[in-house]
Amino acid sequence: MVEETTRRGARLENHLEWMLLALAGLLLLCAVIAQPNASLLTGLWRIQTSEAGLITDPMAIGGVGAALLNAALVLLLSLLLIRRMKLPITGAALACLFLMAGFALLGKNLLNITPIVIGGWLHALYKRESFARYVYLILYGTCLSPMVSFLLVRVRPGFRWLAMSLCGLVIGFLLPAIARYTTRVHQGYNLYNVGFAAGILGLGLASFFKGFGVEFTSHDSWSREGHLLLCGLMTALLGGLLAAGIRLGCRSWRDYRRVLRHSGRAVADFILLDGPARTLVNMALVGGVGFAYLLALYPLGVRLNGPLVCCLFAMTGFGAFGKHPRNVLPVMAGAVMASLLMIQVPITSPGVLLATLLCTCLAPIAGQFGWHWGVAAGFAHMTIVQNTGFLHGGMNLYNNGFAAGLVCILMIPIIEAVTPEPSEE
Amino acid sequence: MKKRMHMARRRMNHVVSELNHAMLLAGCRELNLRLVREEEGLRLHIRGGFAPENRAMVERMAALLQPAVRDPALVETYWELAGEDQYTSDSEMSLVGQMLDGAQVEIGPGEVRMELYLAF
Repeated sequence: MVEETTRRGARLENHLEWMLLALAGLLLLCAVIAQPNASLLTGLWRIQTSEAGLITDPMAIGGVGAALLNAALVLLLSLLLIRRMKLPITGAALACLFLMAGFALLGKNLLNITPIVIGGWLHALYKRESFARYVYLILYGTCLSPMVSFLLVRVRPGFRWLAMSLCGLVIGFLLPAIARYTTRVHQGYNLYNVGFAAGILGLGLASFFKGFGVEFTSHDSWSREGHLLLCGLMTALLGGLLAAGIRLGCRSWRDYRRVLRHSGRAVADFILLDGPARTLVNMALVGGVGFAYLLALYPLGVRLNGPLVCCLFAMTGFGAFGKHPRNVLPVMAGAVMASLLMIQVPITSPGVLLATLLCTCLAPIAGQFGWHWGVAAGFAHMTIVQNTGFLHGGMNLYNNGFAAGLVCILMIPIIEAVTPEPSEE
Repeated sequence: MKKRMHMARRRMNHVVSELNHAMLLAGCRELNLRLVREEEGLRLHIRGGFAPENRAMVERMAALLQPAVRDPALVETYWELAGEDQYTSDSEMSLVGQMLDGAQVEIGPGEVRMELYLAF
């Protein structure tokens, strides 16, 4: 059964690649609809040359269309890199590519990710290993790209290109080693592992720069335009994934429910474990959970924008790599409870919205130890994430991954200490 | 690319650890492991029994050890998780399958034989 599924998965790899190209096409189409004039390109350039720290919405900087065009280009570049390295389209690849497209709506752009990718290539060269091994680590590692943009904007002319290039190269060169190490620390319970590693590296770099008088700061921006178009984009994306999954053979609850038995702890690559059909349906459902949550907050004034669509892309992508409704809902519930109980964090504030959706990187805790621990993890995440951004000056786009790593360090030893060992004969 | 004997050795330790877990959970009473260092890699031969009621589990393990596609980028990030804790699962066995460069698994009545290869 599984052999059949995995063989089928290999045959369907081309279909997955076409699906990703279709996603890029959808982003391009929406970009042209939003800005059908020259402002699309001028906006794109403004995004490339602006600061990108948390929480900066490229839709507020270059326009809705330019931000979507940026997302399409980053997705295409990442897909090209993965295919050039001859890597298969697995759940890990889907998660990585969706995250790249998503975070291009929250700070990544072609200009600020390039030096980091080259730094990663230098790391592989230094280790005398194939770059293919490092592609995911490096692509995820572009979450520190706001540092590159910061130096591009803030350093005096003449030195800025040198400063940003060097910074990117250093990040790309160092991050793979740290990211491999941090995996052991959280034992696979934090799905945004590189976010944790990047938080630690970002903390080190921010402290270093601060010692030389450079302090990382960012100007928040939060667009409220393009809600309807972005709703259309998400509906088309999630509907397309669901339809593709059903067409490929996941046609009933019985077909689908196999996915729900996984804890989600890394490495739960649903494409490899359960095949593409169930995975695509699961991606649609996980993304749908986040989308439904945001739509439910519409009466309170929440409108889709770059950062929120980024979170939905992240949830959808990791629907192929560890997340499913059964393990994300308890964690989200815990995060919502925390935001309702705490005075400092209104439920509709940008940081809280992002944390509620991205805390789902702790879904494996709910999957492995039960929903009650998932609720506790979500609650702890919401409290901790309020205090981690300043450590790296808002320069780590995966700040929630950083906070989630800290939650794991805090909770996993406690959970394991109080949970009875599994009974075995 | 240079030969990476050191890395292959470390990875093989994780493979052995995870398979020990899995076989004992499948009801194995006696497990035979033979590790051979070859010119280009390490070859692990495993033979062990399993409880009849766990046949489906062993079949699943066999399938995960022989995946249709292998993703080296996935392995580079996560290989150190294999065999690390008490919660062995499909996902960890899938990771072991991804780490290997070749695998042959034969399931007989109450016994499984594996030949697993990890290149330097």
